[in-house]
Amino acid sequence: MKRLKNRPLLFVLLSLTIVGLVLHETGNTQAVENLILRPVTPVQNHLSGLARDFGDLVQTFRDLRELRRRNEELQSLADSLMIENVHLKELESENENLRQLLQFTEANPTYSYRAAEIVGHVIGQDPSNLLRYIIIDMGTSDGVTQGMPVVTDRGLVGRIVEVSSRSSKVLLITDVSSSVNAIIQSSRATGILEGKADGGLVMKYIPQTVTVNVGDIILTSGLGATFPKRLVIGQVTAVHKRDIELFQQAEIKPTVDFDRLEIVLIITNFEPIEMAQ
Amino acid sequence: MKWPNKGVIHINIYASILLLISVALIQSTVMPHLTLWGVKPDLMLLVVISWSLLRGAREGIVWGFIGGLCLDLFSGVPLGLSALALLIVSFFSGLGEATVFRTHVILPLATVFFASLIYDFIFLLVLRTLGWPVVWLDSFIRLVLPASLLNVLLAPLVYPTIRWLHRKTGREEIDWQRKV
Repeated sequence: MKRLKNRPLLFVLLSLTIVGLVLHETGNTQAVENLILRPVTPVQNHLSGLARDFGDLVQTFRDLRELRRRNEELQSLADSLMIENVHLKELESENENLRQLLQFTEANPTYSYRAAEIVGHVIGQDPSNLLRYIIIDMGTSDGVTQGMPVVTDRGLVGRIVEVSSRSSKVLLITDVSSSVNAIIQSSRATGILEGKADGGLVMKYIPQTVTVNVGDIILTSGLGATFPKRLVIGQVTAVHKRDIELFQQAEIKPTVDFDRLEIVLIITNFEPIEMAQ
Repeated sequence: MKWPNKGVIHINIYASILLLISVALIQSTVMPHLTLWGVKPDLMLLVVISWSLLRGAREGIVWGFIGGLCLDLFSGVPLGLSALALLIVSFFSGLGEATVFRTHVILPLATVFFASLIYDFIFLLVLRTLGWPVVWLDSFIRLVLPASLLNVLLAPLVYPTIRWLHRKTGREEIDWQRKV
């Protein structure tokens, strides 16, 4: 009898969730979400700060072993040197192109986003293990719009997919639904970078004729106009090449540490071109 | 919340909403710092399942619905997805309220484990239906299974807290109307 009594309520709530899903898919829930998120965002911001402090405390216990700390320092140094090396190689490549194409000039050798950057703080992550989003404390009131690329000084983070007045949701490049047109710096071969379920990255559709080496640097190619060119993404850690397949794949280790994201930059002077679904 | 004659607190719908928003905030801000095996525990699922086991399907589905909507606000998924998944698992968890939960210790843990699996399965299934890319095998091995085990590990901490709340708020169902 109790089960029967519960059924009308269950059906009503189920119907409401399905209506919610349909409305979201048709883009009609943004106003409601904005209304709810506006007062919640400051609380989330504060709680995130507390959680970060708590996380630091936990980390202190985890980092008791001196060797680990030393290892992290060396890793950090290696990362920064690698980034510097990437920029130098890019400049070198750029200069070479300019010599060959005498009539072609470019205003800036690397994509300039410093003139139009917004600093956002990470105030939350997606509650689900199955998705990789972050929430930042910048929204439409700060000039953020959907599609804007998000980076750190270490490289590409993702892009804005939802914006409310004071916060935005960023789809990380490590999410399985994310795809980024990428280029291998040394060979200039292009491919598509996709997220993996475990939070890693894989570069697909690399032509078989190209030689891909472990340690090669991966950058955004700018194809598709969803991201600016020449943003650092990561480094090749493994190559999967089989003769029976049309393309080869490469495992990529991102330069950005997505588990420790705190501050990000939003590139506001880049206008992505959204392809129709 | 209000104070009835018997000295126990009746939990009303507003208190439930406030509590579940708080849980969603903790899930979004604190839980990412408590990862193990590459996954974070699903506090909202644990809270809702515990409440369903203690109070039955009727209150469970209400908490599942509200809690799911709260999660969706902080997530990149379509609004209603987590609500739908939590609604279904809380309904089935709540059916075993009186018989299962009081007689066994291991069965609530098993309920949490299977509820976690089913919750993630529904979540992925709806995402796939809506056209999102889903990597079934990798997601199951690397995310769903470890997360379900982690939820089981955390259940002995969450359940007593919810049981304390259950005892404090008495056996009455959610009070939907304000008494004058």
